Amino acid sequence: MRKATKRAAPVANVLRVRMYRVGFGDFFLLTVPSPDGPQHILIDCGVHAANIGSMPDCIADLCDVTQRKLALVVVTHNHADHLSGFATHDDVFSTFDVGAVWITNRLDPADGEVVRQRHRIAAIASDLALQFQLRLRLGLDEETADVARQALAKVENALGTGFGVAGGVNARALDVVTHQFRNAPPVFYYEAGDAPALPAALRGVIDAEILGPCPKALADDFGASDDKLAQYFAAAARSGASGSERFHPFERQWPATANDYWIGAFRPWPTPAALEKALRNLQPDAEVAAAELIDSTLNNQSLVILFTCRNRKLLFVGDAQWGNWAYWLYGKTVRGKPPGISERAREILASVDFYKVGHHGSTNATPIPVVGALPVNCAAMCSTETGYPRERRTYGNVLAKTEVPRTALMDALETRTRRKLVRSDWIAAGEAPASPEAKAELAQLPAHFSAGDNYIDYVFPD
Amino acid sequence: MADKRPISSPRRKTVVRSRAGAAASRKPREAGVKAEAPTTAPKPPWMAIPEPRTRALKVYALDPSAGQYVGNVMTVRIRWERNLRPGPIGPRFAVIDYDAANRCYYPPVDLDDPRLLAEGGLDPSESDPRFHQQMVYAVASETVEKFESALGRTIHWRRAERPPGDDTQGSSSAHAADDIWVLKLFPHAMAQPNAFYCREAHGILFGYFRAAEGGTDPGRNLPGQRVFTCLSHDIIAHEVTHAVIDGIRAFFTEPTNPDVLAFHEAFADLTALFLHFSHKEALRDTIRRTGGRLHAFELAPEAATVGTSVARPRATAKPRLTDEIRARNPLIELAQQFGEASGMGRGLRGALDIPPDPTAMRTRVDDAHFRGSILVAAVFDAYFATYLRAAAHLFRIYRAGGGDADASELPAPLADALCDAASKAADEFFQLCARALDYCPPVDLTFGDYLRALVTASTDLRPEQRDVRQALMQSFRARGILADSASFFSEDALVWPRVADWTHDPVPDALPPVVATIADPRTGVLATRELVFGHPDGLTKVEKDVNGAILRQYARENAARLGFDADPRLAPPAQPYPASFHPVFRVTTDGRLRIDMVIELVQTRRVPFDADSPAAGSFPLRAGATLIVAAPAREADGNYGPPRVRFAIAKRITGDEGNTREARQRAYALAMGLMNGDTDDDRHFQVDFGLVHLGM
Repeated sequence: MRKATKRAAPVANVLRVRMYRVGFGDFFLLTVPSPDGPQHILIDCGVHAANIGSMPDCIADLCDVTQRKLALVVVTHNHADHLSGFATHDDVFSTFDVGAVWITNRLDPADGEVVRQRHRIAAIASDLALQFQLRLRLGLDEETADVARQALAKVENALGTGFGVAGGVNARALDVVTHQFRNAPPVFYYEAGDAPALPAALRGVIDAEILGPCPKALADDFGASDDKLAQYFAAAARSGASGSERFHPFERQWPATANDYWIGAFRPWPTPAALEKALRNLQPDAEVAAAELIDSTLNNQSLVILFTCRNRKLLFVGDAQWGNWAYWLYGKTVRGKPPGISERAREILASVDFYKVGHHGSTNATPIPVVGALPVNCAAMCSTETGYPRERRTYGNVLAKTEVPRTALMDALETRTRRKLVRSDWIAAGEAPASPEAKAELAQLPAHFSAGDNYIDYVFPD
Repeated sequence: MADKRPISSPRRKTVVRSRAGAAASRKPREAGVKAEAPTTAPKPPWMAIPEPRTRALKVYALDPSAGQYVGNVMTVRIRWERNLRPGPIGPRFAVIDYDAANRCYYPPVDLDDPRLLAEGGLDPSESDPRFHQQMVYAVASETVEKFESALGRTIHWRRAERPPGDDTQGSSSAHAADDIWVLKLFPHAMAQPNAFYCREAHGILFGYFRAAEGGTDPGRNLPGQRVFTCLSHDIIAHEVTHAVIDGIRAFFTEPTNPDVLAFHEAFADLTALFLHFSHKEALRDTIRRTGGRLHAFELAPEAATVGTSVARPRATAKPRLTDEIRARNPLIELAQQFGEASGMGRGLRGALDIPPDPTAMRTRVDDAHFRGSILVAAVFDAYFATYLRAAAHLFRIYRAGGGDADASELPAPLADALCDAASKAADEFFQLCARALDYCPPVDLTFGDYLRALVTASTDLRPEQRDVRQALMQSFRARGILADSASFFSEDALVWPRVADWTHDPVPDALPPVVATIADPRTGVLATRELVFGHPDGLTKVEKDVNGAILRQYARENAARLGFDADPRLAPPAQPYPASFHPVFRVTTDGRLRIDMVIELVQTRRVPFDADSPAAGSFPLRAGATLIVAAPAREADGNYGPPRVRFAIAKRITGDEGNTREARQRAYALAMGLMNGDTDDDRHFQVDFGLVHLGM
């Protein structure tokens, strides 16, 4: 890491959100004013895909700004793009004094079922990673390779591999935040409805309400982002990812060709070869489906926190997807009846002054009813990485309308917030220039936003 | 291995092949022409041998893992198809054994080979792909014939949508590229624990895989052995049922609420389970080993029926011999081998393994298979209640004659009588379940709608089945399946209301007879025409075109009465249109022929996910009405009247109902993540059975 060579300017005693640009990852520093001067809350610190190499500089800035004192550290969920910085800079974090650590209770090591579930997911993810690595060595066409590459990124994100850290960065990061801070702070594992224990420095300064993840007892109802793959996941968890293993089903050879069949049977395909190709393409990709399910399952374990400071409300949702949102938006499963956001959820959303856009701007992480319920004076930040405009993104695909960040969602949020949505890739950082797409959407930063070397600040107006 | 011959290749020609030289010659076959037979002198007509009515083929009643379980190897008799080609390839099914994982073909079985005709096909074998082909063809045919018998019409596969504005709109009979005329069956399509119906493949893909190894118990399979989904009677019947329903109801694959997909799964399971009860030998054995209690989860061990009561092992004693081990009741479990081989330790989705819980419908909304099993359990609860009533009657007779009701072995005549009662009840239930499909709304189906359809179909077609209706209503209520659209949970309230007669001053619920002034499809001359009901073998091309034109006009002229948006300014694709129409020929309980037409009328409106952000995409919101129209009947004046609408079962797109449905569908689509992706493409909103059945 680059050493902090300059003494940082004193931090104003204001309410401020700093979003670092690291690539695909979340690294947010919330600074709150207090009688004892500014207090700092670190919410996630990670990057995985599209790593632009700015993490060392960002952590150097964190050291400067906080003087290595954090009132609170929040770890939303078990993905490398929210954790890796703790592991790759464990030597730095081991010098930090921290008031308390809050972690999603889906990572509570004292809960046997949680531990078993983590191991099951890790086992399947490892299996899948091997299969995707094998695929990528096969010289696939560009489109197929892109699917495999994205799926591999998802399972590596779940495993925390790809950083050269033995055992993966996720496990290492969890060890850092639970055991390696200099002063051994208390660690709390939370789910929705828990009353969080604020560290002394934040008492009377800030309030926090835990909105997600849903209670473990209801995880069956709210845990998954959708139900398409739950059956497979259940089966795979028991027996391992089966995938498209290639083996001959019969002991002996049964020589035959398409010529042995009446050619009219192949209609409407013009040739047997066309039908053969169609049949190969139509087979469901079990591994890709499982990779997506693992990704969304972990995202839905995100700790969702509503902070209140000086009558301002700040909503940090991690990477929560639909299942996580549904719990506190509706307080019930929603598919059977016309839902309507619960009165309490509507009150919360209508009062939000700042929204940390979920899951780097993917469609499933910010439900449309939420966009409509946010107040127009709300400001929003989205940590994401577009790179340059092109059809293929780090995640998703523009042609398939699954790109991350999803353009339609960004547009909707910009419209709703009166263009107070700022993306991390709006500025240059590390080895990456500013994204032309982000610049095209926002000619200049709105009022109260300002850009630093590797970050964008939002200072709440008085 | 890829064959790039164009089908219209001029190289195609008729060839005569010897069986031994078939592989060597590798010559393509001529479309529509079989290998030439030796020329013989014509025989006089009185010497002609009539074509057989059925073809006998050996299959597994369950799957290979059931081994020599009584009746597991059985012979089914399916309708004779003339000129069945090697594959088999016939007018309904084409078995093409292409293995996409290994990129190879397996040789097709020729069921017209005299040796196989004489033997009832190949003997069951896991190691011969030609038996696999025979089995998928036989069970698929058996399944379709069950539906045809129940529905009173020939089943056809899915036809592509022909919405207004489509090029084929002018003709209901014109072929579209996505029409499925012959359902393809691929017995070894993939190396996956999966099997699924796929519109794009025009057929069903069956997978194969290795049984669980390591620490997982593979049940009766050897660890790591190959398991073929195409050898599971249940899996074949399940998948073919998906194809049948998709041919009958185009929009039941569009999950607009959690029940739609669950219904598809449940109905496919119901078909597979009810087929178990038509296998007499297995049924008789199960009755014998359960003492007539067909719903019992376990069978008595074979050893329990041997020897005197003194010599028999006590029920509580630990088994020491294989025949002392209790076996699970195979009749009420699905796909036992698959379940065990994939490490689940039991068959897939048992019929009755979910105790009644009225809250489950409201809480378990995420799992289509679980919700489906609630419906299966509800139907089977009613079935067993009906069977047990009949069985109790037979037992009373048996006891009155001095029979010992506690005997461990039922006497053969009683077992036979119970077998007949169980089989007859199963037939009646399956027929009712299948016929109820015709009484469902075309879109946005819920379990409550299906309950109403069951009660209506029973009342309409078998009014004497009051006990069956009551049993169904009670078992549905016990599982929390209620009909939101009915005011009360009584038979009268659950029956869909009949359409009021059309008079000079019609009431709002009335609908006019199905008559319209259309241009004759052949001459172009305008004329007033009635709906054509045709012949039981099906409608001709001209008849289809006439009906299509009549129904398009009828839907537009009566849009408001049918719950459609009646705005005349709507663009053609947004106007209501006939999605399907099927004449139905049934014999009523008093022996009369009854002819109806079942018609689906549909209208589609594109609705944005977020009105403030059109770029976020839209979803198709559909209104639909199922019309059941009676063929012209003789009226009081002695003349035949026009075709009258008896039922109009609608889901509205307008008013409060339309608004409620729109909000519910939007929430469901968001929850399913459907906003992500190409929402302009209707296929984006279709279920992918390949993913639903992953890991089965």
